[in-house]
Amino acid sequence: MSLKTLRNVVFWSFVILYLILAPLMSFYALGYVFEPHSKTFVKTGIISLKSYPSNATVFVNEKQVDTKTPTAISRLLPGTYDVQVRAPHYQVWERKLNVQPEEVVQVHHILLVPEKPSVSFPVPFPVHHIIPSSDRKYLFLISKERRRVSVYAFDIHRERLFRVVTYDGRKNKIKFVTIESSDEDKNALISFYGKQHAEHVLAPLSFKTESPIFLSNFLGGNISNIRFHPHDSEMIYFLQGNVLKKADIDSLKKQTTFLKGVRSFEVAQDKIYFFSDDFHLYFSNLDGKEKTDLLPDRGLRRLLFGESQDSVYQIFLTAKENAFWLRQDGKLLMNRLPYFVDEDVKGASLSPESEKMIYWKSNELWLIELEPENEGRTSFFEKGPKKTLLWKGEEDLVQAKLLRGESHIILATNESILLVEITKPVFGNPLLVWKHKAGKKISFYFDDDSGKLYSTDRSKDNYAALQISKLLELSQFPFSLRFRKPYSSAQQIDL
Amino acid sequence: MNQPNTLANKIWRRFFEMLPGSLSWSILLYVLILAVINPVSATIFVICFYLFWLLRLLYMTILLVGSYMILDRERGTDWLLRCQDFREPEKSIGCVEKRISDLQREARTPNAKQIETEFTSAIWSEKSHLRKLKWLSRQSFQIPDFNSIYHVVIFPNYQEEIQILTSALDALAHINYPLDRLMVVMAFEEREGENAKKRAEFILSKFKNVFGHLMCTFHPANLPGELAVKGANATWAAKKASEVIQEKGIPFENILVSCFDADTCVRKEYFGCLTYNFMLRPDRLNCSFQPIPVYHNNVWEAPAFARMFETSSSYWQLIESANPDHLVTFSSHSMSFKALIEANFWPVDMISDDSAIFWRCFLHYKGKYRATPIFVTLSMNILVGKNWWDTFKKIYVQKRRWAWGIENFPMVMMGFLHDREIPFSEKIRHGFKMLESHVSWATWGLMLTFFGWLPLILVRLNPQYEYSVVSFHLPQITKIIFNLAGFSLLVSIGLSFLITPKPPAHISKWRNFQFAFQWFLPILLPALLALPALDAQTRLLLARPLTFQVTKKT
Repeated sequence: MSLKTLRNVVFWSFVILYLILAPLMSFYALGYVFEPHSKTFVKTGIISLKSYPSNATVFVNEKQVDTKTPTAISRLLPGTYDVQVRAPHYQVWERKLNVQPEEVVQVHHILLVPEKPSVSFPVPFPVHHIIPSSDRKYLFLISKERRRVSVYAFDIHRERLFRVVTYDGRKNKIKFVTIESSDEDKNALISFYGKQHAEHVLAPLSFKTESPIFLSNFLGGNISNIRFHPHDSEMIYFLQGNVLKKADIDSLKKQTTFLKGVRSFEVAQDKIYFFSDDFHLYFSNLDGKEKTDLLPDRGLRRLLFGESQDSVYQIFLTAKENAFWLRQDGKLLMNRLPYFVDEDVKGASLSPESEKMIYWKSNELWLIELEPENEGRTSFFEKGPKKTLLWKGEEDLVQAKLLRGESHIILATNESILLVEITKPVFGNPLLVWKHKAGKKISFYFDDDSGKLYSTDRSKDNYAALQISKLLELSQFPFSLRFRKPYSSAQQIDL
Repeated sequence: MNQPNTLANKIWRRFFEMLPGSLSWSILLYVLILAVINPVSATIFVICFYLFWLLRLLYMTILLVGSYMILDRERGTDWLLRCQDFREPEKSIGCVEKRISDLQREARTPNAKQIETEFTSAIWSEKSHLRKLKWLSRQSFQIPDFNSIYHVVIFPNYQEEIQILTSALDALAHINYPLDRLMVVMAFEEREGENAKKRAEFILSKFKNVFGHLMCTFHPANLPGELAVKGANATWAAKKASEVIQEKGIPFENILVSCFDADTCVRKEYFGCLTYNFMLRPDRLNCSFQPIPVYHNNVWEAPAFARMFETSSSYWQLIESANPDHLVTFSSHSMSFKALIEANFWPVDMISDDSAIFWRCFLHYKGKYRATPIFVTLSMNILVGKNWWDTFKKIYVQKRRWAWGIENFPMVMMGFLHDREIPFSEKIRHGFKMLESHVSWATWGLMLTFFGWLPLILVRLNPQYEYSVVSFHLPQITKIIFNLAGFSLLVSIGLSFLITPKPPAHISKWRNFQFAFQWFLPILLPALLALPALDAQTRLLLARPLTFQVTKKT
């Protein structure tokens, strides 16, 4: 055989090989398999599973799969499959998964919860509320004994505790408290709102015993609202009457007035958001300049704020410059069409990435997806934000948090803490993964980085204490999203 | 070949100029748009392309290994002795058979066991020669007398360092071919001024009486109809040489002309091998002879990525040599002086003179012209700049100049359009090959490097795609295909060690290790190879011709 003939034989062999392999690979890629019974090619689907911890055994319709998690079970004919993921010393994860042709059912967030989660009680006194500091270094623990309210800081990493301030509310019964910490958690601002007046305290966050400063002694009275500068822990903004001022905490008496006619304000996203006396909602830069009216439409302002102008609003600012107001009467409003979101809302919180918002009303938990705005302001907002019912239980909800990765939510009801798995990309189809009875008035904080759940627990002889259960190894999640400070306002705790 | 300057011709020429660039951009944009609007179809396209690429890569690897085996087989061949066998092929058959049996006997001795492969190669080579002799003995065409064959070697150069030129001439002075039948022409550019004259004087004095004839020519600048290109200089030199040849009365049929880059160092057996192949072919006057360019002059001093680029060029030429039906001359090559004259020398207004001369001859001889591979190497310099970035820029300029070979496409297609004698199938075959190879050059690298991940990158535009079976399978299939392509990579690494000369004593073992590791470094190499080609084709598409930029060798 000559070299030319040999070369031609090789060449045409490759051509034939290509003509055979290309359609076969294309069919394989599209998920086609040959069904011997019907003697036809049928489209199949895939179930892709990832569990935390990994290396768990998978059962599909009670039949063990050869590979362990993470794994993909391919060439599945369309239909519903009963899938179980099992690992020793962990609770069994089980779901019915519906496989569609040409589709992959991705369940990449299977959290296997230990059968016996480790629990510790590091604080030997009653705790009413848990609030994280802005840099997540501390948890503020609020303890109330008769009319005395104490605020403690619990160092999350060192698990050590120190008292920040105690306020005696015998002469001024406290209605609610707000707490905010400065940049890098150097100082805290605690506001005690009493029946007669509000008392604002500046306290250093340190294990060294340093006395808190009662700000009314330096700034004067009639202060309704006080906030830190977002980057300068030595600078505070405060609203005195209807005048917004700022001051350096080293020389508190030296104050600068820079905005007048302000009813209330909030500092977030390097901007100052404020309601004016004439019910305009503005934002400006941190010097009070470059003022922009968020709601220039007068009719709209009246519609939103006119009917109860004295209401107290909780403001939530999302990553996509959407603003939400949760009014005292439970109406949830936003700054884009159709403005009205829902009513009878008890509370709301933003996702860790501040791109989604959850809110709860009695026993329902809803999710708002804030999709990017396209083509001006019409296409998306005309339809309104996408609302999805995530959970409906029997008990009233008091707190909820969407975890990083948006695959799970933690809910606190009047009696229990629940961990619920939700499916993506179409949110819903909740699966109760774990439930813990912790008594009434539960307050919790979940640390996305360490995977620890901190909660109050009144289940033991009506005794509330800080409970740490390291039950979720969420820190193993492969998310690369950088942690950002939430855009919500300082947290308000009703007492 | 010069078509009348009619409107129809202008339109046709412009069409052929625009075709390669339009096709390349269309393919790239097609995949890009498809990935946005229909990622599933784009994925199937990408999978089919990857499979096509893999099979083609494996096919090319087979050709590469095949060519290397021939090259290795002929490494120690005494071509001059074989040329003598052509005097009386019938009688020589017996001698060659005896040589083969001697070799076979010697190979069986205990001492020969250690160099068994060398014996195998030698026997294989002799058998190949024997087959050719037997074939010759059945043919009736006239074989020229070995002693009547002369060589003209032209070194067009511009601003090259004297060391580069003297190294090339030193190598030439040490060949085993009779030097008295060698005419060397150092082709300088007159626009270089005194510098060129000084270097010419130095060369004339140093190599006086070494070759049969040594001359220096000075190509005048700005001759009418010419551009400042290498082909113009080579043509001037060839014309001057032809005057001398006519004076000496040597028939042009008996002269082979080699046009070498200034840094070309020939192996001592180059002209023997060339003459052997020239004598062997009945259509020897309608033939170009293409050796294998290797870049070994400074291989141990060049940066790894520069070595990678040039080794890839050598491999490409080896692969092309395995398929002579499609071979086109490239870089340093040789051909009959008679054909050169009849085709009116190298083009004086084109950058890619090396391939353009082949197509000129092809059109002139109505398709009865071909390039024959000769399995002997010519060593050249790897481009090295002052620093890493300078090296990269030089390589880019050089590759773009090579890719500018696409300027031949409109010339050839216009020639085909007006020709009635070249078979239509030949026109289609050559036209398609030229277009396909250049479009592949410009698109494959980018598609390989980026487009595999495109549907996955663009998943945000079509979130449903993320949950499709096809998107799930794409990384798996890609992984398998690239793993299989790794076989080709391993072969390439192995061959690079076999082809490259042993490192000098001062080269560390670490450098040797780097030599193997270099193949894993440039993940973006395919894309970097594609960009100069896309650049060249876009220039042609937009009618912005490239100007000749000399890439000085150091």
